[in-house]
Amino acid sequence: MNWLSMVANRLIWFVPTLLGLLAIVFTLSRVVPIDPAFLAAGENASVEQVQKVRERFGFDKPLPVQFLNYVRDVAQGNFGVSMFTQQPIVNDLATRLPATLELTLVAVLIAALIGIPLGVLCGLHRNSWLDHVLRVVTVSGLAVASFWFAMQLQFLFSMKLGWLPLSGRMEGFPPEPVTGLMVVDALIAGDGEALASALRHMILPAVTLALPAAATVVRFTRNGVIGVINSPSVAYQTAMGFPRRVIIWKYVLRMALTATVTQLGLIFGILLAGAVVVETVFDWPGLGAYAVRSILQSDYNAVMGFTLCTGALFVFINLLVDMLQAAIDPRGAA
Amino acid sequence: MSALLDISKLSLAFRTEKGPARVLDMIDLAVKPGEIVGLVGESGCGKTTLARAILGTLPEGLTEIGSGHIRLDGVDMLRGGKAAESIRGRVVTFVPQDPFASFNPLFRIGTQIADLMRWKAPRPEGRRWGGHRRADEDAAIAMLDAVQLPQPRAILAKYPHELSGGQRQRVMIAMALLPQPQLIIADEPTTALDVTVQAQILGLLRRLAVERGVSVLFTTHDLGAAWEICDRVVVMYAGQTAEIAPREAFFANPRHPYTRMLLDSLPEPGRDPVGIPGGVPSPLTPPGGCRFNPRCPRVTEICRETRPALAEHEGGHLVACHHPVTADAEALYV
Amino acid sequence: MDLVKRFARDKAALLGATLLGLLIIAAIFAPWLAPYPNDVFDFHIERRLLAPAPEALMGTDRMGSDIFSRLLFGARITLMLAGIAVGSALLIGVPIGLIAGYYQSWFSDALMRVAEIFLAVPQIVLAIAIAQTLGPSIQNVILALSLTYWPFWARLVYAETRSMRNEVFVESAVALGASPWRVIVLHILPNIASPIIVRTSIGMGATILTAATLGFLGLGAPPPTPEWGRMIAESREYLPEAWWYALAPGIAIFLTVLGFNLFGDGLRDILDPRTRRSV
Ligand SMILES: Nc1ncnc2c1ncn2[C@@H]1O[C@H](COP(=O)(O)OP(=O)(O)O)[C@@H](O)[C@H]1O
Ligand code: SF4
Ligand SMILES: [Mg+2]
Repeated sequence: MNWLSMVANRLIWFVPTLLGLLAIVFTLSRVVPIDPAFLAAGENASVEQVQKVRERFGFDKPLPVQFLNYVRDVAQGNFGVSMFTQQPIVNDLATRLPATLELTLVAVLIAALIGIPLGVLCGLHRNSWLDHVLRVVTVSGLAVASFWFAMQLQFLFSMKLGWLPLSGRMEGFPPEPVTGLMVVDALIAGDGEALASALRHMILPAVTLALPAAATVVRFTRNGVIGVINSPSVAYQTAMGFPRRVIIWKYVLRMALTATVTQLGLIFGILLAGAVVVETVFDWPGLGAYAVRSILQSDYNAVMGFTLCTGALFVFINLLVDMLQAAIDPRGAA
Repeated sequence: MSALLDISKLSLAFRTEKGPARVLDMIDLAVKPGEIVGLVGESGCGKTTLARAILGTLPEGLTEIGSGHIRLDGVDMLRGGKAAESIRGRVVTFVPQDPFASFNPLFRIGTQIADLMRWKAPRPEGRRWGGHRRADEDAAIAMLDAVQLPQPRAILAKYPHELSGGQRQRVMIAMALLPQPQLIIADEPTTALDVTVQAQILGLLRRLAVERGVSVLFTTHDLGAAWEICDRVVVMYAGQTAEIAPREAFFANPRHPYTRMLLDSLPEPGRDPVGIPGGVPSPLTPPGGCRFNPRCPRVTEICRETRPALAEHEGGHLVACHHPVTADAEALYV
Repeated sequence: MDLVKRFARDKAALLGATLLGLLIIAAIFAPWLAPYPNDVFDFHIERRLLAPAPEALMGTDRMGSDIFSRLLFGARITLMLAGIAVGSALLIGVPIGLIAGYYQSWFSDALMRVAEIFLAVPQIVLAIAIAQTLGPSIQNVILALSLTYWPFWARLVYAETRSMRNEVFVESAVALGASPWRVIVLHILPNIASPIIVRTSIGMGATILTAATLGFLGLGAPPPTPEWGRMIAESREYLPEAWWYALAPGIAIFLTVLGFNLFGDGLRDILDPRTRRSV
């Protein structure tokens, strides 16, 4: 498949996929046994008030009509108003997206910077003590419940040792928002104190989030390196007397990294799912924590907004990964 | 003339889960400068293993050398290490069986050739490093031209998957010639190719080798191919040398019962091919004595007990058999 | 059998099998193994938040119940929950994948599109939404997990079936007039069973993590059910003093998931040579 048709194919399916997601969540929101109008109007509302709310939100119309109205609104960029923050959901999402992006990016960086070199080392020194130790670590990293791991980190580094903050994203006043990424904003503002605070708040959640991703990266990179080392092309180069270091550091590494890049979409999925939990434990003001809170409060407009946002992000990331892959592998995306 | 490659009494086993696989058993073989030798044997008889042993690229730690030596240009290739690495790509080069998998798919042909030349092309004294890029490129283009690839400069810029199998094998032959070696080992170089291009590639290999005075050790399971390009033929059966003879004598007057049956199994006008009943024994449980004995019509007690030594008959015709076929004993066993 | 021998030589796989064995023993014999079997429901405020000691091996919780006893009963919930959820996801996903992969029509495309929609957001998000909508109970957690997990199986089986469809033995069976039913059950299913079995083990581990997360968020069974995720959530308020409170259930989850993952890796090595982990 060539490049353009791949992008086109993704984009063609983009809208139906998001519509499908909306339909699922919308159906959920309407089979809920509690009348959403009751929730929205508040506990002490009278019957008339509830009725008013019902009409205002369109809860009195037939379901398909409600759905169509909702889709029409979404198409115009109107996701509705959160019943609890009383803010347009677009605003809620916009203020929270950067926090999640910042956390996820840092976690990807950690996972890649630690996972790739370790994976290469394990692949090159297969069955060495390092390989065995890391196998235990990676298998464990994929088996640990992230909320529990987060709590243990909090217990040790915040409560016992007092080295790092327990939760949140910043102490004191945040820097002037430019990008929404606190670390970057602090750098722009030249505010050393804010930068230190942002980094200190970042460490525990980012490490928790990065753990399963790093474990995945190590495994893929290791197996990639081993696969390539045993490949006919390396056998050929060895037979032709290419120096070992050229074979490894030029040819094998490039092949193994290409294989790892194809897994970026999967790794991003791990991170996004992880963010939902990690943000909740660390009170990180991002999309994941917002989603959990909205779900627990039956704030369905917010849930639908979040779902749509995540779905779009997912499709977008996968598209990027495919394009990246097409760019680094001359054989093109499979 | 003394031999360029000298293999004597080579026995070798691989360690496997099920015990040692005794793949080579007292192999004798010599290649003189400028000579083209065909190593003929059924699939699984140890041709590739022998090629890897000559190149010094057997899997370390898995290989047990039982006896014998391999000397290539005076260097002991069984020792491996730096000495063997400096021989590879300089004294001996390699043409692989599978030109599809033997290139690294992520690098241009030109890059892979340039790396070979950077490390392995002969350099005039004192000009080891730098300043060779242009000269290397010119040499590469001239060589691609010599292997009859149209538009050599364009080929350098291509990726392996953009070439056909035949084109790739031509590039492989060019790469084998570029370091100006004394010996080329071509391991079934045409097996993976279309029948129509096989003969062209073989002819090309022979012509270029003869022009440049390079020796070739050419392995094949195809007697017809050996007939086309070899000066001398060596027949292997299940890791043992069966017969060595100059081409004419070999085809006119085969002495070993196995060779005899192989030739009879070739389809020929006016005669039905005669298959050889039974199969090649596993190297895990090779028969004692002559390994051909379970399938041999001339077998006697001694064949099961003692390995027949390679004995010279007339004019460099060597046979390892207790009861060789004599010239006039045409139909003794049929 | 050769397969069993090869499995037994893999130390990691054996460790996995051992962990799973222990889990099953804990689940079956919980009432006899537990020092205080009644502590699943009983509480003794006077004994609350005691550190581990001989009479309460893993300490007591906020209600004064013995954490070890509750943990053993939690193994039942974990196994049952993940077993039923993965089982029903298989029951939905595998037939859909088989049918969609076998008949290549607009209908199979549509089925797979629906699966893709589910896979477009992390499973945990949809599972939380469904579990919350239905209300907190074990049945609803199971339902939420099955409803969000079948698409994974559908996609896996679909891809495998598609590649089987062109195999010679399948084509010849079709040519000989075998009914689609027969071809699917007798020819295709046995050949794609290995990857399914391997993923089932690893999928059990993943599902246990997801279920524990739901419990942690308060979406699982209501208290006093001794669900491990919920136990960890309850412990949060009592940190850093009651350090032991979250320790035992967290390690229990870890060892269980580890057991399924190692077991699955071991199975993959012997059953599914294509994706064999290089030793
Ligand atoms: N690394 C190895 N370990 C164990 N057995 C091997 C190994 N490499 C090759 N063999 C066995 O050695 C025999 C000869 O193989 P090979 O040299 O590839 O034969 P050929 O090239 O003539 O087809 C085969 O039986 C093969 O199974
Ligand atoms: S030595 Fe004996 S068994 Fe072997 S080929 Fe000669 S006659 Fe046959
Ligand atoms: Mg071979």
